Amino acid sequence: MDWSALGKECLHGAITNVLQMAAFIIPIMVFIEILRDLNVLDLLSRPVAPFLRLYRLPKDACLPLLAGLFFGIAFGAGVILQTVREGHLTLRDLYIIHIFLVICHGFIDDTILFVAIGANGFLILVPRVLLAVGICYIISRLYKPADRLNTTRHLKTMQR
Amino acid sequence: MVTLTTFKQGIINGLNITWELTKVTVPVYIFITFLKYTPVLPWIADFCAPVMTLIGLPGEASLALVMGYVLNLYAAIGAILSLSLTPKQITIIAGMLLLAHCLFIESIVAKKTGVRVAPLIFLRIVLSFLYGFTLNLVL
Repeated sequence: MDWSALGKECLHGAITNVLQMAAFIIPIMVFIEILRDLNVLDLLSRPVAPFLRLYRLPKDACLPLLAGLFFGIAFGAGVILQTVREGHLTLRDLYIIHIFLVICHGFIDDTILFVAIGANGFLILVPRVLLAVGICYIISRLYKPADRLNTTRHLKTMQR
Repeated sequence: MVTLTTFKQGIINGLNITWELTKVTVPVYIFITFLKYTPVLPWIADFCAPVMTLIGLPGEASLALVMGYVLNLYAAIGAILSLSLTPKQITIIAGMLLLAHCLFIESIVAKKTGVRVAPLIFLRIVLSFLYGFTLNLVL
């Protein structure tokens, strides 16, 4: 076994790759922070709300969706929990939001990491967004707007 | 309001992610590069090759896929870097991993809001493979 070749390959590969990813991710995180401080979520809520009607989602679903889409699933889930506590979402709304977000979330930073290591940005981002939009549309047709009873029961079990 | 703090915070976040990335990517990278010098990697590759050819990837890429599904994207990236994949293969595996990654941890997050997570995990894995299969045909 050639230990020095192994050592060289590891050292060289690790350093160049980490630097390359840092060169992509640091500017992107500055960009994301700018979006956050420009209150992009609030700004986008108005133009996006009409599209949610296609999915028969209330406009309260807008903020969790955008939060997860832009800033990642952990941040999105925090906003979902908050919205659920305020009592504006039905179980159906929750499922549609989750299905959208598990397919497509944190779409800026995760995508850029793979672009940094050589993936085609268009091909890894656009199909993902289209899948999220399309599958949620199908689910929203199959899953009729919920009866309030079920939702109340669900929320009660959650509060326990 | 965008102020100087915004830029500072952005750079701090970027450095944090770079550090998190390094902590995970480098050990995985070293581990798999080490495996390349042993007969273990070819065994795994041969074993997984029949499924992996369907999505246009070499057998050893199964390691990156499993690490991404079970652990997280950073581990998967470490694995991808240590294998020499073509740009087409990197695009396929990147897209597959973006659709399904970190399945257990992200599910815990979803479970907190009270939805059933098994169907969500199933959906992600199915979409991930459909994506890989389709992209391999198209590209």
